[in-house]
Amino acid sequence: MNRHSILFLPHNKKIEVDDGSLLIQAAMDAGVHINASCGGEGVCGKCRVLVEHGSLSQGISEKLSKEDIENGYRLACLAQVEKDVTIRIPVESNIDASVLNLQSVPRIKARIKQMNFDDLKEQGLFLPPVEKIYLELPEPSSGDNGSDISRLMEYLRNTHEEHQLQITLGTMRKAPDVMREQNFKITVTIERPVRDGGKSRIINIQSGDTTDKNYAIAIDIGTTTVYGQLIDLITGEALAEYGDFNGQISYGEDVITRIMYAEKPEGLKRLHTVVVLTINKVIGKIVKQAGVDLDDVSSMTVAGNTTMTQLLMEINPKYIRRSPYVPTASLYPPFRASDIDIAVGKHVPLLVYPQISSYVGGDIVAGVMGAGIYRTDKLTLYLDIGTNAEIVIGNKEWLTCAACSAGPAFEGGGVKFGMRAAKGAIEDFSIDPISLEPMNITIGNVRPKGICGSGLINIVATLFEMGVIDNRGKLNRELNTDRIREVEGVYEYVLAWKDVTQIDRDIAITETDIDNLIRAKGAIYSGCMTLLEEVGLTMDSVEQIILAGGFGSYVDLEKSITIGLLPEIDSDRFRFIGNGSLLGAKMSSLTNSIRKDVGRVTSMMTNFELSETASYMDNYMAALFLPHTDINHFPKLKDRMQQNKAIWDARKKSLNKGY
Amino acid sequence: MGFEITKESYAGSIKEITLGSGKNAITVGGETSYPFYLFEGDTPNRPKIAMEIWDMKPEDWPEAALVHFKDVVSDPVAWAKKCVDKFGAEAIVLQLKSVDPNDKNASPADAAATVKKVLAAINVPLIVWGCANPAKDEEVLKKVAEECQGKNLIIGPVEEKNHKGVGAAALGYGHTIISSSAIDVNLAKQCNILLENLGVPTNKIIMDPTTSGLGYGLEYTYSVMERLRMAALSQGDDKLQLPMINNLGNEVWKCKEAKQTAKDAPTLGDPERRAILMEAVGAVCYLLSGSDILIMRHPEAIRLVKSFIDLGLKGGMATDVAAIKKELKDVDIDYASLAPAADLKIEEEKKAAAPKTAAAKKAAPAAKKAAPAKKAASAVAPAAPKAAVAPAVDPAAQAKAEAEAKAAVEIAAKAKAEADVKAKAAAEVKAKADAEAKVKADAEAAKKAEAEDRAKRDAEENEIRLKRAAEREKHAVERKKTSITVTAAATQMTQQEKMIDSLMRIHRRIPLY
Repeated sequence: MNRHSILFLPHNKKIEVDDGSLLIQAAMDAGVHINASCGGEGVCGKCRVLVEHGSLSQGISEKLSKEDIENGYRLACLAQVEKDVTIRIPVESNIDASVLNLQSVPRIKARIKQMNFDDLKEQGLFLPPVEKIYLELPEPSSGDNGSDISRLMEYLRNTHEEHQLQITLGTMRKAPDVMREQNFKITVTIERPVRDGGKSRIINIQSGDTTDKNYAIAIDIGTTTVYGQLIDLITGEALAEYGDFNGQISYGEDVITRIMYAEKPEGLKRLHTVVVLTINKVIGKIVKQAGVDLDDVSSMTVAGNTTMTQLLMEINPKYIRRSPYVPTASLYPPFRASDIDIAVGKHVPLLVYPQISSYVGGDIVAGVMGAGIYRTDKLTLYLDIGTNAEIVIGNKEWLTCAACSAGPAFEGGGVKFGMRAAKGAIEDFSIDPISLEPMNITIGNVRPKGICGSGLINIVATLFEMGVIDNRGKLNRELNTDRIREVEGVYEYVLAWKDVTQIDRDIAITETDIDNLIRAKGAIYSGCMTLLEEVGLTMDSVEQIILAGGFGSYVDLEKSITIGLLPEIDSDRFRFIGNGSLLGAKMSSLTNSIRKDVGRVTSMMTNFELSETASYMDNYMAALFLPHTDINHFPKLKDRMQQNKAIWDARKKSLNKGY
Repeated sequence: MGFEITKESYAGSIKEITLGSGKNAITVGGETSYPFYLFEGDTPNRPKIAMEIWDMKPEDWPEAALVHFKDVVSDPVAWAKKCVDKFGAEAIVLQLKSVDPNDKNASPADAAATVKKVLAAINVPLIVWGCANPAKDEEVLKKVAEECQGKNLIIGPVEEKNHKGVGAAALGYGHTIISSSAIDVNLAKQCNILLENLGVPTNKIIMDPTTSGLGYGLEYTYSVMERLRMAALSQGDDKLQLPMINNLGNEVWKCKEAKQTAKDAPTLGDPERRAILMEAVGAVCYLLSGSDILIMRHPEAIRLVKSFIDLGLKGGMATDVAAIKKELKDVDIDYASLAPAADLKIEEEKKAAAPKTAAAKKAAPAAKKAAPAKKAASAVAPAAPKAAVAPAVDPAAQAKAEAEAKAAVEIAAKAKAEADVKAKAAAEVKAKADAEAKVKADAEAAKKAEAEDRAKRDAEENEIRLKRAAEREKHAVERKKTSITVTAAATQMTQQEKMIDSLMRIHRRIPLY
């Protein structure tokens, strides 16, 4: 693909981008601030830039006067880069060049690392749990009048070396009619045993050749969201993905309130029904999106935390919240998805990820499997950031884990304008250090609807670096801007005025939102520190950090370090895998070798209860500060904050001058 | 080789902070070791005791606290002067109780006027303590800071909530700040960082960890102060290397036990001594955990604590410190009547009594009527059942028979005794002479034997001593010659293997397969 270079003036910053990139995204990546509040839809007209050399395609709207257009002004959010170009950003306030040079921080993003399916095959790990075989059976006649099933079994034995096959009653019931539909040309689905020495089983029979259509469904049941993926078992590709809020949310935001609800009469049944409905909705969506026949789905995997799993199975979770916090089961036997009313074919076997403890569940096991921690030599810190944050430290020799409650802030919960990472969510943010005007970029470049988890991190980190909020996350009330205001006793910063939003209300970030984020990141950071202390290691000895969580497409490492969510270590030691639980569920849909390892991993993982670790509370209090009470853990940030003081001083000066 | 104390090596020291201005100024802090660890470092400035005065007449002070100040409690200026002139206060703390919005809600201007008056009247530093309502304190302390520009008052408590307003005012008008946080190391540090970010220099901050009274959470404050000092000195945390202040008098004297009279709580003893000791003991605890400034109320408690500081820093005899001098009349408490009846039974007897009690209870109705006087005796006493049986025998008949028998025996005995005495006297004279001679001889023999024994023992001991000395020398030479070689374990464990080992110990889960 063609690459073009863009020079931004007066910042004098150069960046190379792909052909057809949006100018505003390029500016964001280069660390150049352009005022923009409508998310990139072209309705606010704030992101005017001047083309000095070269040209841009598009970028013209009714927000620009004819004169402006002739003079070379364009809207950055609409303009696409097709050639090398030099852009001048109109400077609204008198800021000196030294400030301009200081304000940009190179963006280091950890993008999702896609799993390489071919690698899996090369490592000999590709043993699909379900397989389809096309057969043309000899038709029965007066000379050959053996039973239908014997005919099938005998043929498989003779031509496919399939011995000692078992068959389900459901398949037998279907067999006589299906076999005769296309003159005994049939496709059988065979479920392979997980352990050596087990027997294969015929679980489905279809007429004609359907071997090119073999699909699996992977589901991650989160406390807040349920994600589903439809996987092609032949290519290993994910054909469709969909996420929806867990219907159980109406019965409580966290696992404890859910358990309490389940203890009420009919409560357990209700929660079970609701989550199954959510799963069925997700399945409906992904099947439709990918355009596949539900009958061709032949396997399903579910990963969820302990409470979610027990609720799905309709097993009373009562004792999970009572000391000594014991879950009902670690391993679940294989059974059929339709047994718990999941709307897939009756033949579909369901694999449920095993649980470690009451608060470290199948989702984390799935993450460990998906990220391959149990196969690496490197000392790895695995961090799954969600409503319940889970931490795993170890490598192929040993594994330890702990769980801490972070609250739903990273998934958009407990935030006034919070939302999931979906179209219209403010995902990226920058602020003019002097005028305090924002630059919002939304997912899908449409007018903003709310703030997603990664947006929240970026916004809080940026506000903190620019001195708009202090170490406690409190807004600086003395700044000269009408974007900082008090509503019903709570201070907030307005990201977008209502005329540029989709919801006809001003979108703002409040001090309460920031508080929630600080508590969430504090819980996670202190959890990591406590677990490391417990095993006698320090952050320096960690060779890689694998991040998981529903953050959208990337995590901005620098910003996450700025708010003290992640420790300040080299960015090349970080890896982001997106939804780890879903990844694990997907992997075990693809290969039995992982299913086989699950049991081993489950038994080798040592669980630490943070609530019973005395130093946790202390670490937590220390982490309730931006970035941390002990700034010495963040030396680079400390230096940068020193430099940023120059910007704050410039702002103060401009305030005095009456700007 | 002489005995050597293992010494802590410190990574930091406490900052020295000057309170007040001009010739009134005093310095606190500067410690380079844990409190009173004089063998490890210096304590260049003694901990100071500041006396508290109120800006309004206190309503709920117990008599013991009030007695020294009765004449001045309505006039803060006179009160402050009395504290300095009569009781030698090293600093004055003006508690602005009147500004409390839940009480008199006095205006910032009024409070500032009082502060100015008091400031003019004294020649020691002035600490101004607000009402601990963050919003009101912000208003008041800002005004106070402005009105007393350049006097280097010490103003507080400044919390996270009002640090900006008060911090800026203190910075602008040249005062020292008391950074206050709720009994937590991290919160204390956070408040200091916020003040520093505001531009307040660290030599203008004193920490208030939030003080608890004796019996009301003192141990929490104590351990947080200990940890603050450890962080400051051992870990070298520069955000915590600040002197600490404890608003102690206010906490001690408002608690129930400091107020109860002899009638309310006779078993707690003399109320005046009790309250003074509570304040003094609290103060000593905080001194031991690193307090630099103690805010106290009672002159006698202050005298005791000052003498403790002297003993701690200079040494001396604690017995030389005079006992508490009472101002109030001695209370007369009859402890004997309050004391529960003594139970003098031995454990074994009690155990034996237990089964008998049941029997005693059955006989009880009769016994109680027969011997009403014995009622007072313990019900479990084994005497009770005996008493119940006794009345069955006729006491009069028994007494008569006993008396007759006694008289007959006595007559016979008398005659025999007279004869015996005579014979004995003659024998004794002889025996005495013999005995004296023998004693003399014995004594000489014993003396001789003893001397011999001692000589022998000394010789033996000396021999052993010499032998040991020789061995020691030999060992010392050998030690010098041979360096001990440590052979590596046959199988070397990596850090990882060691970790797995220790995890296995924690990891008691039964394998699933």
